[in-house]
Amino acid sequence: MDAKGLGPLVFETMRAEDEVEWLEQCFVPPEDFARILAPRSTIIFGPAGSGKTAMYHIVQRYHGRSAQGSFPDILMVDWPMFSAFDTEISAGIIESKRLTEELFFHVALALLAYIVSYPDFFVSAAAWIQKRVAWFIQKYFQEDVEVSLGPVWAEASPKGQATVNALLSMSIGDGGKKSVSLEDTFATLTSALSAGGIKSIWVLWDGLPDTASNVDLLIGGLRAFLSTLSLFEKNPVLVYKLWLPETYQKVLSSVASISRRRAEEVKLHWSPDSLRIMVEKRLEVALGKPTMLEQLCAAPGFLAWFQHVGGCSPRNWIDQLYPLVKHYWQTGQAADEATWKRLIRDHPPRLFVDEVNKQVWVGGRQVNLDDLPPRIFDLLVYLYQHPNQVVSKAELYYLAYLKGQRVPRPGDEGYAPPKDYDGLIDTSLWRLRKAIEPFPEEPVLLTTIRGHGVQLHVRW
Amino acid sequence: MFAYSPDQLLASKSILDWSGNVAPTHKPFDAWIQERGLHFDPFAYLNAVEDPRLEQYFVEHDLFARMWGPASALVFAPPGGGKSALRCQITRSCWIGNETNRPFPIPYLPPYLAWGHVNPSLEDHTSALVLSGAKALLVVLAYRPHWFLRLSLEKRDAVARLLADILPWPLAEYVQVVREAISPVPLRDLLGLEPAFALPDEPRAELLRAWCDAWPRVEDAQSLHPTEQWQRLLQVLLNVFRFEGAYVLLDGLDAAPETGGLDESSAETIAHILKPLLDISVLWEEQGIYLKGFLPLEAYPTILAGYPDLASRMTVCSMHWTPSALIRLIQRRLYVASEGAFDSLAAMAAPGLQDIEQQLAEHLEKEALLLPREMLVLTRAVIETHVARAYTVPYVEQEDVEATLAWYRTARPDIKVPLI
Repeated sequence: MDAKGLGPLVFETMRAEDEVEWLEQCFVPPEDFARILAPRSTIIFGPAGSGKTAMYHIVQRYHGRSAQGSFPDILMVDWPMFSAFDTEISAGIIESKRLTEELFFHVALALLAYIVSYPDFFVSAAAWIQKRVAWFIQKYFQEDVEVSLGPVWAEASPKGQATVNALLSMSIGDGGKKSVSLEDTFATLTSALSAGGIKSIWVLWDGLPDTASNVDLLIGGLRAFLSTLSLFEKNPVLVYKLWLPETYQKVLSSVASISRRRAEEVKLHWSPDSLRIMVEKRLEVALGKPTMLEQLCAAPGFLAWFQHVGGCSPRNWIDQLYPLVKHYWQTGQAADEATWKRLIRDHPPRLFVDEVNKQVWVGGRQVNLDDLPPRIFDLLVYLYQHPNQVVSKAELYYLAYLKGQRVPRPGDEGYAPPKDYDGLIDTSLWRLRKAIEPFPEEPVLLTTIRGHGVQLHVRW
Repeated sequence: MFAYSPDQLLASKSILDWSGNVAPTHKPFDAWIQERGLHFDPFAYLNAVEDPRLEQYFVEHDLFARMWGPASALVFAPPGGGKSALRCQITRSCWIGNETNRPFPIPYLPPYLAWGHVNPSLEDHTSALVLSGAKALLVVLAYRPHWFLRLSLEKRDAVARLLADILPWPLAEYVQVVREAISPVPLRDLLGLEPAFALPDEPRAELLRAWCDAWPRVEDAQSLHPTEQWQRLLQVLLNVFRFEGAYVLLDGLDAAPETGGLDESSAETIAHILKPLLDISVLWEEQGIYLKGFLPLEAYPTILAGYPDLASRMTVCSMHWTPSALIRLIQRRLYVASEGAFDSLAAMAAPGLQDIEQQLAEHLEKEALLLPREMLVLTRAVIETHVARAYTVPYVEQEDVEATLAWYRTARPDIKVPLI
């Protein structure tokens, strides 16, 4: 394959953090992107694989960039807040205060990264601006700056490093000796930044898992955090952008900050057109030339299958294309039908079963479980708990269906001959395949191992 | 939801095409309203105090007359009910004319984070009020330098000493900010006053420079008891500058329940915060200080239960809006944003669709949410819906209104607006 392309790697990493090299070229905005970028606090909800983290990185790295030679007018603050929610959160002002102080530390760190990258912002600022910024940073940052900034420090210019060192050792005179409230502290900082050219501070937060065992703890923490919005309401400089799993949307809708419209809700969603264009831009990066989806596979029904399985999830579109891209990269040819089906069997759509919320996702599509009786869902859960293992029909019947403790032997109490339950299990498996398989007549997720049982193929 | 066309997506070669600082063509809402003749988005700010243009499209409310004047007064309204806008209106009215023969407004938002609790004593309030008053005074003097410049040296000294004792940073540093900017605006921001706290007409540069030069040096700031500082502040306001009185404009209590904890009701939290101020209000009135409270509606029954005679000693009212008042609110904004070209959504609507504002207001009335913020949300949503559905069609259509109202039924805020 043409050496100018980056190869199948572009479709393999599946982590936005590892896609820095090509994220800029492949970027396609979701619907309502303008609302995500609007200068007001926004909570962006999205299911797993919807591109939350990619959006987070896009906004963090690229939004607010000014013309060449000048510096960004938005200070992006990356706040790994999730780490703050590992202990019981007590609601109330003490928690709000703690969170605010922690936020200020991250603002100070972000400011240091900003100044080391754009030293002219500080160097050319008026004396009072320099003093206020130095005061804030000295008050809230007492770590080792080289260690804290890591590669940002290492890659900074000598001027940037010298500017930061000077800032950290700057004498601020009598200023700040009186007690300054958190509210006034923030007003002091933002007025100085605004006068210096930084018009707003965006606090970005991502990383909450889609499902978590300590949901109550997380919700409590989020409520405490969102309550801080009201404390800085008179200061429009501060903007929060939170990327949260869709599963939290209902629970958080009653939080005052949302009901009182201090933060706007946006649902992350991609149109089929935008997803297709996104993956074709990736193909161009991977293969070194503009390439349309149809050029990867000659099989009839390929596109329909692909759109069905991919759904609205960028991750699943990319994931499902990976084996085809790899094949094309290696052979230079479109896959025929037989090859394509082999590739699907080796690389089936990702299956995700949420037992708590009773949801099932196949690729980017949520399965409709309305027609699936609870016992058949139980079979699926059992198989999901034994991923990629061969499970016998007896095991399915006694342990999953009847929820017994063990598979009885002939003569044991409760034993029934296979002919008594084979039909039941076969019918259940047929219904299960009908629900979850992209094409039930050619299963790729739930396959039969003749003479032994069935196997649920789960890729994590 | 707004979806970009395949042509737009394919034409983009870089993420910088989509970042926020690009031309309005990639900000569909802004581009569309600009093409319709609006020079800015008049529905952008849902929070009145953040809106720098608020004074241009104030809608007079009947309650203004009841809140103004030499008497303490409380107004109750739900979130988004116009309390803060009314507060801003009262503040602006204090600056009518160029002299000090009006009340001095002290915007007071209780500093919960500074306190670390939501159960303040009178001393807590006094300490916070002293700081709020000092900040407001310094900013006001920067906007009206001649008030300071005409004082005797002795009185200038008294004012300087007062501010130096109260403000967290040395006074000279605040003055330096004004000197460098030749404007009071950075000082206002530095002191944490909201954008809506701005006097009309900034002073001439030479006057500001003279003002900066006129401040005496103050050494050794003193740390005094809040009560003593409060009395000094009042003495400066009423006797040195001869303001007619002072209004303590209490707001921000909406935030208290969110931050105060979940162990007690929000109404109880608000009542605790208010109690010391209500208790002192009678004494204040004797000194020419009037409490003007802009309070959450949910606290009304609890406060009245604690002070059955409240209505007999101060004005107590609740803020209500009619559909026609909300329509006027939208029309006023359109008039200002279009620089007088039009004042109705009919100018941006399909032929025959003349009553969009009316439909929205009536819907809010049915939902028992006749609130300015909700009217702004709905109006903006109609335009957003149209832009998402049919960007190239240059007018809003009835289906956009209907889709918006259908959306609102599921997205209405969880606010209760009981009748009083």
